[in-house]
Amino acid sequence: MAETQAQSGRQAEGAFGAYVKNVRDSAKSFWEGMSVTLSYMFRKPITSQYPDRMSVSVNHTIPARYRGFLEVDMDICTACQACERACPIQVINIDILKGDGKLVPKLRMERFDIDIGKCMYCGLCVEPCPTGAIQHTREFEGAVMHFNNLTLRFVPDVLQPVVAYKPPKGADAFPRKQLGEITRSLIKAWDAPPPPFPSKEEAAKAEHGKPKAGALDVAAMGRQLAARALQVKEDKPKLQKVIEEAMAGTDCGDCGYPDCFGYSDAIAQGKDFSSEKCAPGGADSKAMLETILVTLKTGVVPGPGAGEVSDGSAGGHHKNMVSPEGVSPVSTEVEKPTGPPLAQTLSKDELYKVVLDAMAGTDCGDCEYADCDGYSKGIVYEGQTDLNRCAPGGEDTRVKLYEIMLGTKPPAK
Amino acid sequence: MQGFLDNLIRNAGHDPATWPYTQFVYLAGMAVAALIVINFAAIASGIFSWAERRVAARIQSRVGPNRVGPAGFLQWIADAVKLLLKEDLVPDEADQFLFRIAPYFMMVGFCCVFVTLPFSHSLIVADMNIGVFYIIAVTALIVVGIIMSGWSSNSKWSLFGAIRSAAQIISYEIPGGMALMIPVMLAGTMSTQGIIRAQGGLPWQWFLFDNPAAFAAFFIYFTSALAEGNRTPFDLPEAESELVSGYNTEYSGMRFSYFFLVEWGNLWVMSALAVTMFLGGWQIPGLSPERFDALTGGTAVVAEIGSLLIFALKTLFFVFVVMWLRWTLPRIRIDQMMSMCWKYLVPASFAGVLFVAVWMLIVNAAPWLGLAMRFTLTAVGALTIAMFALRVLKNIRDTGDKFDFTSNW
Amino acid sequence: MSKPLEIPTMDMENKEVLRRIEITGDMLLNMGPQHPSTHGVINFLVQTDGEVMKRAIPEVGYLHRSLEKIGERCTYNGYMPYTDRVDYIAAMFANQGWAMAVERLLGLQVPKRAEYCRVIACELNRISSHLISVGTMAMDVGAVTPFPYALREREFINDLLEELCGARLTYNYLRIGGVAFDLPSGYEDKVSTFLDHFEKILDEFNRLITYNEIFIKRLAHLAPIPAPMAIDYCLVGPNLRASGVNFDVRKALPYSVYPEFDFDVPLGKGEVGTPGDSWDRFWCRVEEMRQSCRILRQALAQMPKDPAIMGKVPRKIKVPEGTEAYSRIESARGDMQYYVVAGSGENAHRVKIRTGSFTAMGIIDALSRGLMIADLVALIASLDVVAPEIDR
Repeated sequence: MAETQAQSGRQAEGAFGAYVKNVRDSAKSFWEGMSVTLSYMFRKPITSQYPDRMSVSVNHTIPARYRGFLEVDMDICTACQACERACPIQVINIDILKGDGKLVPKLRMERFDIDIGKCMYCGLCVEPCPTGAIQHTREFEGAVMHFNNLTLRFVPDVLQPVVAYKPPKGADAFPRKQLGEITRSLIKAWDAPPPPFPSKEEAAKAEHGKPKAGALDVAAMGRQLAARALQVKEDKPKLQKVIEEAMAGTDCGDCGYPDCFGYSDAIAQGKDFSSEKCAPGGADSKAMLETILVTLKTGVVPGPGAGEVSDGSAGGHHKNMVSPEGVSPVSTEVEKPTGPPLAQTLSKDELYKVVLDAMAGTDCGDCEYADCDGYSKGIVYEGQTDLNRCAPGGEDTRVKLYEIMLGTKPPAK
Repeated sequence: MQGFLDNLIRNAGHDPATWPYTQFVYLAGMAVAALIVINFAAIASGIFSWAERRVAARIQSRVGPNRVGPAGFLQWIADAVKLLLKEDLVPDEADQFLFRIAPYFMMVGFCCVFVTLPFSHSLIVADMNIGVFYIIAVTALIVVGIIMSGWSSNSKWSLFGAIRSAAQIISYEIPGGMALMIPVMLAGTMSTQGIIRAQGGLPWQWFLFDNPAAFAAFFIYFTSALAEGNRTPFDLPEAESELVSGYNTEYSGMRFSYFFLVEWGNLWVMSALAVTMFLGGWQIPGLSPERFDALTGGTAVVAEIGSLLIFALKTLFFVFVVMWLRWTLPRIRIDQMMSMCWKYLVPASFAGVLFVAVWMLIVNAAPWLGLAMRFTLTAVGALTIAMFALRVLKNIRDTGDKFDFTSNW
Repeated sequence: MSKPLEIPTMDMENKEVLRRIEITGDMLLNMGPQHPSTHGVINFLVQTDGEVMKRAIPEVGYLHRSLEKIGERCTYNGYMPYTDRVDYIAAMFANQGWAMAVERLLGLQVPKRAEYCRVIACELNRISSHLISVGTMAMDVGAVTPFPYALREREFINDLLEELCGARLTYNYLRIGGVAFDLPSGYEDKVSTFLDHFEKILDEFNRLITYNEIFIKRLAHLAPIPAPMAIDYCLVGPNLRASGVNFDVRKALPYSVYPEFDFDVPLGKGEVGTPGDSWDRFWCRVEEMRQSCRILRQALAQMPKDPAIMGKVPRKIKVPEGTEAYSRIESARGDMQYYVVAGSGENAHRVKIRTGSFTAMGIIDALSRGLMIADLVALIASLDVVAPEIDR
């Protein structure tokens, strides 16, 4: 009895003790906490009142490696396109014009656009640049009213392409404008009007796909170089020089060799047989190198081939180009039939297959038929005369359908 | 106020008891007084919203609004104008009538308190002899408004907030009321002016330092007032991180601003009541109430203004303390809140009342004991404040900062 | 556990919840996806009778950005900025996981100095990630002030990392084979100054909130996770260590140069409540920040002098198709694992990222029976889930 009483007494004391402890702990922790917060009332707030009440302008407090907007100094850009390839989200767009190096400069850029609205400022483009032309500036204030103004056009005028820079051999420092100067001038007033879209007539008139003046005729140039290579086959240094002319000449190092000399030397010495390592040269360089390699192996320069029509795009493939892999080249122009339209020469079933082929094949239903099948059947079997309905196929399909069914060009829209 | 109006009528040459238009004068007087008091409440709560934002910012090492007007002082006007111009949205599913009148219940409950709240020696709307009782009764209207708003919003979140809030407020009325009974017992009257007159201007003449139970009662009352005003650590009904905004989730525009007007205005009310009951109100140190009444002419006006300033300063200090508590303490959960009320505060307040009753008998028999206790408690209070100030300065030094109140304002 | 755990599909769960609600008359609350307290866009279907919950089912996927699929389209180097976005609060760790996985694919050796730079960057990022975690935990419980204090300290770390690599949130600092930049001049002094200042702030933080009575009352004894349950539910990181399980990838499966440092692994002991409750998870993170400071000081003192910061990496990274590699690191939120299968060409064939937050979502339903809604918020905060890590 006494034990339980003592126990309950201890319990009661335990409960009361816990009660008192609660109050004491609360008071103590409140004291500590409140002293901390009151102490902050009497300290200087850490806020920097940007932009007008700063003691030092923000631009002077940004560290040197800050990744702000991108800037390209076109004076030292070698048009190697290494930045374009390194970008994971394809924010940089460079359009290259190739020339033969004699009358017309070998490499010119007619477009160098960077969309800083889409850029994620990762810095992967800055690293592979051989001359340091592209850099991150310390600019970050780029509010604009029109979204299109966020695309920085470092080649301002398409009609005045910028010549690529050829760095002197062995140079490792390249003079550059003040960092940020170019970008600041490109980000104009925040409410600058956006660039006008080209109108429909201008777009139709655009010389898309036609060779530009002074453009490179890859096949002819490849054969010229092959012929010269054949002549100097034994003289390795001269052979190396001929081969180097087939490359882009940017010394970017993407091929795995330190510069264009290294790669062309390896081919000349017979140590390297691949023709596709020149990334800036692209398909053109690959084609020319293939021609040279085939010539060196067989000892005969390949002929131009029958029906050579230089109607491809600037630097485009030729239909009869010899290529070791035997891959047939892509033809960008449509066969222009000369006889009566296919609609009159083929049977209905075969015509239906040809028409189905000409559609986009997306089964979207935009043509108001259930699918491409339905539209094709409508045209062939049910006498549908409206050939303009295929929206995904667009102009391509329209042209094809008109030629198949009527043998004429489609009227202007 | 009735005396004041009667004097006016007599000066105009009529006898208040027989003049037929006495009631109209009274009515006009009441309307004017109501207008002044409600305007004061509204403007005070607007200014407190600005003050809270500045205090919160400086505690959090930020700056707070400082662009609209000098030191951002006009920010609350900008906010009020914005809220006025907002679309008056009443949800389709809500109970249309109740939704619309709920804020007004809260406003009424809140504004009625100002009737017996003194501002200075003779500035009080009506010095009723049941002043404290009236205040405690009238603040219960706020609960009605909250429940109405939560229910009529037809939203689960609002309902949660309203029910939590109702439970909280009516629970904390009890310890708050009991704690307020202690100054009533010490003063012998429920009239607010009477309670102030029973104290003095100097700290050891306040009821706060009268005896340990009164000291504890102050804290019990302060805690209960925080709970009744839905202030942290008791702001679960409006817990932003849980219920979006509790019972005022569905409100927008001016209706929303009524809720916040009441909340911030309540800061004044709870602080003013604490000052009235425990801190000697408007009493000027060294000037007893009788001598105050006997003053005339210029000195009377000066003394009047002095008493107003003293009252205002003491009240503003406690308003600051409430804000400071909000930005320091976390939130208590609803069940912990209930257990704290019923297990800690209610027994403590009852024990306090008993203690004060016994103490008054003891002091009656041995007055020197009362005086000794007052001086001891005042010394303890002063020592605590000094230690706290030193701790605050040590905090600043420990982290390597400097005491700096004026820069980056 | 009373009944074996069956893994239902989302449709089943929803229908079951709704059916139960019809029968019992409970309320179905949607907490989220836009909510001030779910750390990111996560939805919770809460079945409750008003205050106490019967079930809380998390619904994830609102922040899914197909990062693993993008890995199949990007070059190995080009994927590094994407790994930043897997967990943008602790981005260095995601970078490191990817770099380590691809380095194992290639069989690369990373120079010592680069490893030290990685450790410094990662431990600084661990501190800043934990600062956000404890700050938001305090804010969810109602104490708003510790959050700006934590953010203020994080700003100092952001400034340090901005000096190091140029960005404040998505760093893209690590590269396959090393790091992008060496430490700038004067960096050691800046970091040391910050560490001296920060350790004092940690003490102040403890006095303000960690040992605050109301805070303890809210978090102690809340959702204690016993060690076997934590292991069963595959919790990792501070969540696991708060339950007393001593598993830290830096010690258990050492990688990089962590074996050269001397640091402790804080384990939850139930100091003010049950071992493994929410307060322990909070405390564990605060203590880990202290240990990170220790590691940083040692790393700065022991930096090797050889200035190489990049290994021998080929210009185009191509690996024989089908090669697999696996890396495991201790991120701020626990064990982060990368599994890479090389594809033909320069891309990976498959990238799989395993994060700690995704598995932490699984335990919420089991813990939330019988809790109050205010507690659910505290529980989610204590598990330190971030939506980008859950959904990738």
